[in-house]
Amino acid sequence: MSSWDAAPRLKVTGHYAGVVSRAAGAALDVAIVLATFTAGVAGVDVLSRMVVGASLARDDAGVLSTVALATWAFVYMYASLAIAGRTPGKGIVGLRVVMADGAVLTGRRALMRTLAFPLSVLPFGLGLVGIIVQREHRALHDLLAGTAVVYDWGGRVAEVPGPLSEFLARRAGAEYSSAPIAERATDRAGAGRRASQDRRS
Amino acid sequence: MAAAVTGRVVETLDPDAVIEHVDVDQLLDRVDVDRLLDRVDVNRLLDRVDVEEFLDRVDVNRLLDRVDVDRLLDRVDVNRMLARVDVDAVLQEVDLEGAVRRAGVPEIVAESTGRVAGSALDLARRQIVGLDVVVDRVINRILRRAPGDQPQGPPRLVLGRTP
Repeated sequence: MSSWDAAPRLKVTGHYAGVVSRAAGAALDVAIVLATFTAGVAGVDVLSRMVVGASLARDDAGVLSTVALATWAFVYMYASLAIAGRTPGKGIVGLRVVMADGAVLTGRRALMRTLAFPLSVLPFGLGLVGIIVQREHRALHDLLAGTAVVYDWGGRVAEVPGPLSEFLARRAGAEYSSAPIAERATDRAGAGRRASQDRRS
Repeated sequence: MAAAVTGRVVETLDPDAVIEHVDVDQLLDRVDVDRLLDRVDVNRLLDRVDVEEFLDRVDVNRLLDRVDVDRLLDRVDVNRMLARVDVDAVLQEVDLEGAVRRAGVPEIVAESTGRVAGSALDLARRQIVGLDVVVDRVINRILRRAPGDQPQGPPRLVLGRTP
């Protein structure tokens, strides 16, 4: 075993998920939605040809298909969030949607988040910029629905790779340490008091 | 006349008194046993033997106690014995599927497969988390934010955790 493998990994379960994780989860969700929708349309087309003798899947204008796809995407997203707190894509990447304070996502908030999602995407994806620049990595639909996305690998602990963990530890990357925020806040307050006492003396 | 005399003698004589005067050992010495046995039809004799009744009277456990099993096994050529065994025929009689199921092999395979799949998934997830960390550090540097001031996660998930 190399020294890299032996390096202790920083644990990030419950931490706000970053942009790469969320993009990977979203890409998987888009792929799943499109694949299942295509398979469903093909199935309906075969059935309609056999039963009615005409292709119901034929939609030159694309309006019906667009509405059907949007409806399927809504059902996929809302149902999976309301039931499991994560879409299948998020589940594969190891993410979970929670309330802003970390509580379990309610069905109402899942509905709000699903309805608000187009507001983040449609104006050139501007609502998604929050995932990159916002401190809690919350997009517009997260802010509107009062939700957040965190790392959650189910029964296993979410971790940073060993080499990067060691690098962060070397560089005193306190933002990814496993110490609770309150403890670090206490440490900072204590350090501030000590600094002011030093100045007075 | 002779018959009458003989009959009279036999009636008068005490058989036990006669037998006491006979030396049985000397008499047996004069018997040719091999010749006697040659005249015995052993098969006919065995036909008259009730083998089941005979075996009922045999104490098998006592008999086996007298058998030196180790010595007996030493004399057995196991390889030669196995060479005579038709393994395919034996295996055809064995419920291998049931035996494998009873041994819990499917569960072990499923568990190990799941563990390997989970490890591979975790490996990929760790790389993505690593990229998150790197991108986050770059963004913090661009926006001139102190990394330590970044909230780690929702209060309920981070504050109550023991390090």
